[in-house]
Amino acid sequence: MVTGARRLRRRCAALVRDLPMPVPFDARTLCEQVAAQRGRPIRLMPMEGLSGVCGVWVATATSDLIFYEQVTTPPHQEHIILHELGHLLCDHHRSPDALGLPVEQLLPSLDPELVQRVLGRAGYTSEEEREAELLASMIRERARSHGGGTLTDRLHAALEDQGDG
Amino acid sequence: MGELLIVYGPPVLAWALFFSRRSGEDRARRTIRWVLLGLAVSLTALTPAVYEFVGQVSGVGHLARLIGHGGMLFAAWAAQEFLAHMNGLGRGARWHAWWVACSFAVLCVLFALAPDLYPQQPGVLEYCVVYLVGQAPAFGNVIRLGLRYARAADAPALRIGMRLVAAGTAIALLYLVNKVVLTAAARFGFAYPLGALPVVGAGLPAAADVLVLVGATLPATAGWLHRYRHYQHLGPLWRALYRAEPAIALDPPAGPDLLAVGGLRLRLYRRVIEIRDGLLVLHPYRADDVAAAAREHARLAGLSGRRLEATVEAAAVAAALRSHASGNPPTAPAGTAGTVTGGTDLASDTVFLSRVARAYRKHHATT
Repeated sequence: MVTGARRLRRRCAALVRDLPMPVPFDARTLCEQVAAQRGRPIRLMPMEGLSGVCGVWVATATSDLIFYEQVTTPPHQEHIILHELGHLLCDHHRSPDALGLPVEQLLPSLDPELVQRVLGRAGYTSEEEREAELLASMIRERARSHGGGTLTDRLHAALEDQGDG
Repeated sequence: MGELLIVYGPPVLAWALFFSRRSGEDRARRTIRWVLLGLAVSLTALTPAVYEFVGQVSGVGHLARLIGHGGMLFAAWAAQEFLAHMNGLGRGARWHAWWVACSFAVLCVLFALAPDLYPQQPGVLEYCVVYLVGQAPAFGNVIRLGLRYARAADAPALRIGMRLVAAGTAIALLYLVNKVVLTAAARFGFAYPLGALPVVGAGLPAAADVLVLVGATLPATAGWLHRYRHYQHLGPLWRALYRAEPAIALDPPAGPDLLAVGGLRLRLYRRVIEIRDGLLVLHPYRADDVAAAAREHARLAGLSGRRLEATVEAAAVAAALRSHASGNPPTAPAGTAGTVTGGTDLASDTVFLSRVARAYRKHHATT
């Protein structure tokens, strides 16, 4: 169990290391940079009152759509986006009907036939959900250690990092 | 005991701080570790026990002094590298690296040529001058920029820390100047009784070391305390939400919160996110009339601003938790939109939730 958790953490750490890191950090800018690297647009879609999940990644043939709950605080929204981006980066795969999500309700104009993958953020019982959630947390952690663009941001990042606490 | 503390306290503190800091990929953090390493090596080499041991093992009586001074020059170079990074430059000035390296090379030559280290001996005054001149540019910059950073700092711990580092460095510079004057007095035969006082000879360097070490690590210590405090405050609210919806936790609770001393950044971040997840789950169970009554009650109690919002939120969450636990149907159907109260970034949301958690604990205790 411990070995499995460590392996997961190592895998996430390797993925985070290879990511571009906007300074100051912004999840939306990170999505743009990842989209540019992959050559596939990522569209962020705020939704009010998502049912049962608070974020969903929908992959179509030409683009990736990340739906995220709007009725929560900005840092929570950012985390939900990072979680869904985590699924995308880890290349997780689930068929559209596996989640039981009515994709046509999320995006009525989208032809369900075009949807290739759907992953939602609701609990961490599966390995894929745990990996995406841990990856999101570690991206945020690395963003903090990079600090912001100002002198005081750099001072905080350099001097406030003692041990693992 | 006091003397032992003055002699061995600073090196022990320096090694403890060196080993407690992560290196990381960031150059600024690496250079801070290098400063601590240089100081630790220097302070250790100059303790009486190590000084004697190195002399016996190497057969060169005062070799530990040269090692100690080399460590200080390395720390001075690393401090310049750190400052360069803080000023947005990738690396420190090349001339400074050469300046420090050449100073150490000259120190080695003078050390080899000097028959011993008595101040009246030829070469010893020159040695002290070169040691001073080798560190002076870095020390001057640390004092100047440390005070400037203190003025720009937005957090008290950072402000005080920078001032302590600047003060410690100024004292170290004063000590080096004193050493040069003391050696010159012995060489040229003039009186300088001030330099021979124990408070100057032993007190100044010890004070300088402690001030620099404490100042450089004060922001990290204050940051850790801040995170630990918030983590403890959030505990009761997180546990209540976890009992209502265990799926919010990435990892199940392991051990009492009081013992959670490591990995606090990630732990605190997870706690904030998981509380927000739990609040989303509870959203359909919230009742507007409960929030309105709590707001009125809080106003009458004289609360306002964020404290009022936190108290109202705590009452609404407590009522929603009760409704969820008693198996009542949601007051609003799933998928219903609404409003949310909280911070606009992670730091302010952590503070807000911490207030909500404290209000929730009070609310829970009185109902």
